[in-house]
Amino acid sequence: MALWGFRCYVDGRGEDVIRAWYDDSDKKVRNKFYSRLQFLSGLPRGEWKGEPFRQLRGPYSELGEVRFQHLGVVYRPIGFHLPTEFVLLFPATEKGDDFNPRSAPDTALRRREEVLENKERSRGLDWLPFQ
Amino acid sequence: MDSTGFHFSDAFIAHFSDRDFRQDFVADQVRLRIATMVRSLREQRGWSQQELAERLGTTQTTVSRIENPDYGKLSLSTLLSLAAAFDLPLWVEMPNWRDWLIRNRNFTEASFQQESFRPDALNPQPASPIVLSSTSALTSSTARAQALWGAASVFSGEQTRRGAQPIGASGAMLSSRLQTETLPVLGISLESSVNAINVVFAYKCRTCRTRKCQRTGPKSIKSPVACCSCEL
Repeated sequence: MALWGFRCYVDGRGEDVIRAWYDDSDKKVRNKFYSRLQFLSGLPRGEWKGEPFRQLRGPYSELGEVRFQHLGVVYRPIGFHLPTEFVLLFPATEKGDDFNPRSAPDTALRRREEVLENKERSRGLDWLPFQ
Repeated sequence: MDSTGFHFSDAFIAHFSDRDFRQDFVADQVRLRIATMVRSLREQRGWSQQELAERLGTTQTTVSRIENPDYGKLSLSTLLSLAAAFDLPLWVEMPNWRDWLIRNRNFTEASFQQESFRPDALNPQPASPIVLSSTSALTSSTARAQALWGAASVFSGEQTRRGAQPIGASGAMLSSRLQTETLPVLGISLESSVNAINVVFAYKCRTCRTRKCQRTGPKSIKSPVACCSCEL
């Protein structure tokens, strides 16, 4: 049974940025993204750890990243936890040991504030069926 | 619908009707499952990645890769070596899709944790309810144990099984004493049989570093002082 639902950040034009990224991604990347969300959705909060999920540190400690690889590219979509949902904010990747783009955590942090202030800035991830 | 009562939505079924997606999904979920299982079993035994590596005759880097679901080069030989290191059997099957999808939904650490081989665990004593004339109104094992021993020695079976944490300050004190004077106690739980309630200590042997269990009766609560395998 799913313990977590997912939401996606919606920008000022009303576009779901995670869905836009998903639709533009390679099918293998989409499949792995779905698999990781399916996996995380059934885990208690304390078990969101290891390689599939990492909590960010320092000024970004409110954020976490879902991690997966395809063809040598590390995908690191950033989000944060609400009591029963994980809100996806920014579909970053990795370059070197850093985020690509490097501003991704700052952008995600800003988007988090927007979501917390205005519920309209996120939308339930209902375009992927988890059960 | 079968006895599980599980119902998949039409959208879910449509999503899984894509064969390429199905195969990608299975491949990733199996890797996630193996990575989570190895980490859970390792942490259950209190081993570091380095300790597991030594038992496997390999390096910490290799164990780190095994625990990474994006590392896709696991062989059957490696899986068998892992099973041997944990002293557990390995089970491989190709079930039907419905069964697999339902069973695959539980990835919690507790679902992977298993005890290594223990002869007495092959024929477990069936647990049956105790009827005590003076405590017949008490129904939970915790309440029954309180009646027998007093609150100081009572722990929650569910919590100790999963998290090895006693309930309450008195329980914490007892656990602390056991930790310092004898072997490190991982958990204490209650086991009821027809005539008695036993205390089951789960502990980690300092010599062989494996997780063990030892039972004692309610009249003499003794924590384990030596591992049954390593005791001379």
